[in-house]
Amino acid sequence: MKLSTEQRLARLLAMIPWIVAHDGPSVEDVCSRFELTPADLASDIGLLYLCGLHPYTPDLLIEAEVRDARVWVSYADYFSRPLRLTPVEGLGLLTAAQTLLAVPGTDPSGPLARGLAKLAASLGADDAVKVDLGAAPESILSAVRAAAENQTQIEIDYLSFSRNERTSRIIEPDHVFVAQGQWYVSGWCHAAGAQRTFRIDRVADVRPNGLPRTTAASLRPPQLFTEVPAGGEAVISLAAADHWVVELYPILHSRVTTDGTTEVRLAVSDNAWLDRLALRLSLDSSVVSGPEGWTGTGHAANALLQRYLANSDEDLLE
Amino acid sequence: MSRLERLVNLTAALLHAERPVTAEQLRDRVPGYPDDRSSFRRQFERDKEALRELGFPLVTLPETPNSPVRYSVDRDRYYLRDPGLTPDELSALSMAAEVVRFNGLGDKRLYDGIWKLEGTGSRPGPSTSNRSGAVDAPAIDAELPADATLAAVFDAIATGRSISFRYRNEERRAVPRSLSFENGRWYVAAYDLDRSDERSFRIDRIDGDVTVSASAPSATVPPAPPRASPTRTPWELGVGEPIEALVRIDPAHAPWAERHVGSDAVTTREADGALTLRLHVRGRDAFRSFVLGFLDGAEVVSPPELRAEIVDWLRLKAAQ
Repeated sequence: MKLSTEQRLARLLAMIPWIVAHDGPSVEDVCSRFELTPADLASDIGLLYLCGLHPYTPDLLIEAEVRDARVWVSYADYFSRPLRLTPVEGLGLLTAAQTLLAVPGTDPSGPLARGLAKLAASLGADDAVKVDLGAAPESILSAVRAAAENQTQIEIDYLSFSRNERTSRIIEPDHVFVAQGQWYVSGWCHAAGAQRTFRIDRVADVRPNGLPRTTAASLRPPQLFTEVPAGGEAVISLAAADHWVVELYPILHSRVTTDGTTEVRLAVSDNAWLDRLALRLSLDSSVVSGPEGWTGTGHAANALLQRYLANSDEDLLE
Repeated sequence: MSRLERLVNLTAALLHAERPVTAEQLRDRVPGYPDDRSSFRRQFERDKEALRELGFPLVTLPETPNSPVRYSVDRDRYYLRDPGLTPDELSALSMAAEVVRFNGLGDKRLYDGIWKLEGTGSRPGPSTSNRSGAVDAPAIDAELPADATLAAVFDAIATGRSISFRYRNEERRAVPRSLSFENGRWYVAAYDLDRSDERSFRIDRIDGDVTVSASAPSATVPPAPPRASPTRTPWELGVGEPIEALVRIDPAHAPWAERHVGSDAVTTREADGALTLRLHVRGRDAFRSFVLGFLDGAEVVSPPELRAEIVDWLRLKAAQ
């Protein structure tokens, strides 16, 4: 990869203290740590050899050389300690550590937690970053992770929120990952005969069936919201109180009508999902149209109303 | 003479100088700048910018009657403070940097920080590249959004400075206290300097750039309040005495519902897996929204007042 001059400078300033601290590391180690070729390293070392302080007499030049397949840098005291972390690097490391700590089952007082506390203190950022990855029961998460690692099948009880039903199915997990603040597992689903992604907080139970997986694992976790099969579309007239809809769901199109209300068009993966949304919208909003087969807000409201009317208040209070 | 060589020499000259130096002095000490005055200024400005981008704490001392503008490096801020990590701690942090990705800041940046930490003389333990090594690394992938706004806010927290930014069409000034990632979004808890109160802002709603003040805020800022307890469910928010509600959840939805509200809320478990939850309701809209989310898989059992509200709501919806 071709680096810019600024990127090469950053790498040099990180590499010099590393080489000094490791007391003549091998060319191989330096190259693998900093991801560069021996030729790139030779060119960096050759350049460093010409650098130093005014008036650049030999005693003021940095000594840098490759000897016996090891790398040596000396007389560069002002470069021998690393540059402080940039905000991005500091934030990045604290967040990465907090993220792993938020994984259920990570030792909350182990090396990661101790390293994090020391790093945060040295950055002046004690308790500055907190990460919450959403609910995922440790037992479910570890069973799913174990199946992904051991390449085995599991049977899961899954609550499909969009279809409002609980089903059991056999899956072959590929990836356990966090995206948009939620835990997911992706893998081959026997029932669907296709790759599927499941939210771990909706997995009610996991049972290993002891069988090895039958399909090759996909290399990468899927991109969410790009692979959701499109069921259809709905048009909703939104009152101001319901603007959370715009923030929460991918909107395909939005316009302001002549009477001043906002009308949005959004993708609907399933009709039960639209029922749920329709009942929750404030009374000033309404679903103008839904996908084919959607029976309407009134139908959804009546179905639920039946349940309330069937159980009178007296029946419920024993 | 390459530009990289010039930048290395410029860095060395600035780090070595005992006193602040002028641009002319730097030109004399660092080979490779053009003789022409205006091209020198242009290239010197570009070099300064490159160093600042790397986090180089270049201090500019303004012009005085006796001297032109001078430059120096705050060496305390240039060098990394050694956090004193043990090998296993450094390994654990390296591993974290490997499995967690930031979406929006490029891939390599997390690892640059690890290189620097290793340059303090700390060496990682043997398990750096072994995901299931001494730190009991979970085999996961996590991707979090991040951008320059988030980095600027973090910088202000770490250096105790205030920020100003545009938020919902208003200019705001605040002293940021901490960042938290919840429900897939970043929030900053901050002391609002104009409203003299604690506030929480959503990072992705900040409009445009965040300006970090040059120095610590002059106004008196009270000490940070203790971290709020884990986010309460929305229907618990509000004022007044909460109403106790019982909600019956059908077996299909029970596991999710229990995790969502916590097992403490469960009052009854039936043989088929159905649950009754006891919830403390202040926000009635949020409560109704939660219950309706189960469609016909949940029912408000009591009190009659809340039950009637749901029935009335459904009647209005049925007429829509």
